[in-house]
Amino acid sequence: MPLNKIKKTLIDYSIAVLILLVLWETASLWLNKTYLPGPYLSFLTFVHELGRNLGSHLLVSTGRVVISLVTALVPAVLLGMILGRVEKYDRIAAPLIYLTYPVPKIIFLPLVITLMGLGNLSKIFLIWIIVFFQILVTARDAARQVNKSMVDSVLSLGAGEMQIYRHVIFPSCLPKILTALRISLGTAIAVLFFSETVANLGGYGGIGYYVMEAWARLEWNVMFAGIIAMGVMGFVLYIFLDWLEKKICPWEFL
Amino acid sequence: MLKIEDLEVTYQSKNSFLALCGVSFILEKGHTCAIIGPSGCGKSTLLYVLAGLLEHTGGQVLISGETVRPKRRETALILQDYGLLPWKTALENTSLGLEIRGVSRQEKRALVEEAMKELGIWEFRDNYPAQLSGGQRQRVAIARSLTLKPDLFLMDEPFSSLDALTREGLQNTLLEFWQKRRSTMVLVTHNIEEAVFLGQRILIFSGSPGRILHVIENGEMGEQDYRNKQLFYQRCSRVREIIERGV
Repeated sequence: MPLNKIKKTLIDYSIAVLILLVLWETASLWLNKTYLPGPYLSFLTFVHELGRNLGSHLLVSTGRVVISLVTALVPAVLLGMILGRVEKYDRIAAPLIYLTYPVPKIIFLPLVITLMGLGNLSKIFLIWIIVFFQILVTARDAARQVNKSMVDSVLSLGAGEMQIYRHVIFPSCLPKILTALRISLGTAIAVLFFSETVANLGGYGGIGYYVMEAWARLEWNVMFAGIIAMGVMGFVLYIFLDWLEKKICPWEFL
Repeated sequence: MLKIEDLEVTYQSKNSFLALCGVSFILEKGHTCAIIGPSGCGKSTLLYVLAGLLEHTGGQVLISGETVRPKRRETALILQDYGLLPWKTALENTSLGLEIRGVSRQEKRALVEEAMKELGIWEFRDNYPAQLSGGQRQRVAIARSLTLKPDLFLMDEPFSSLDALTREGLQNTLLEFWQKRRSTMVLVTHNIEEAVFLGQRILIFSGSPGRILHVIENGEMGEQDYRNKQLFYQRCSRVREIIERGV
């Protein structure tokens, strides 16, 4: 990105942040209750808490999200591309996907916790299964839509099936996969929060646990520090995916 | 070079559809042949069969004495659109055929540079297809097939989405190449002037099922300034007449 464009983007974001802060401050002053502290106190607590244990909670939560996203992405993309390209496999898989895709996976939370315990595994698995389905369906639909003439033209150059995937199907699906990943990131964080509040072993239980603990102690500014941490985590991951798309799909941004 | 006898192609979908029937012709090595006819007359189907991308259901297709098969290395196929991959630069697109064949980096680079320079697109090597004009894109497609040193060129309406002047420019380029290399060339087109300009033999197809309606020998093709000669116009009118009469 050219320098003046970065500058412009920064200014745009600063204005947006300012608007949000003003709204928050206004609401806080108007309500005048301890349970809605203003942004100044909240951010001060956030910085202070980051040095104590909020930093570790934040790392735990981020780790869970990132591990789920990465481990779901790889098999979902591979399987999705194959299903989209080979009709006979899709005929078997399609009914299964259609029946299971609309079921909100969070409903399995009690079962997952019973099976996998209160630690990392249950939380990672819950996010994993949500992201996996989302990417699987996206990759499959994208692979189905790949232009047939494009495949023919590469076939006529002597390409084998693996090379068709590598040169045609995968790059053709990539932008759609990254978009789906960005969308499922929101769901992933929401599910993470929920599972961290419901199931934990104490210690560094993640941001969800941290927020609930602060709430129970009626430490409102600490609770808001946790909310800020979750927001920052979502924002940074979102920006990262945005950057990644521009980096690895340059032809989409001509 | 090409020997096609009683070719028949039936598409097996919901209701089977006879696309080509009783097509026979011979094309000698180093000669060119233009195929023209109404839409849906199976001319693209024929080309796909020759490229080994579609199986025929009857008759015989021989290329250099061998039965047609997929992935014949010396066959190059150029399509109207979608021949280039949007996620690869002009350079990467031109290299694709050599990359798939596992040619070494140095040799690849040399062949690609030579082909791209020959077609006047070397300076656009870092552009993506979306940043190229229609004519430049087809030049990349031609450069890519040149790198593979083919002896049989198959082209499916390669210039039909281009404006008239660009199209004539590319037709001239193609003619020069053919005169230099004498590859065998099969060109499917719906443009009468293009067929007469580039086909030593012109096969006129009729539709449903596709079959050869008429064969016009056009041995004067490639003569100096052919496009502006009286004979060229006469041939064009004759082709037009036969297509319109449809018998």
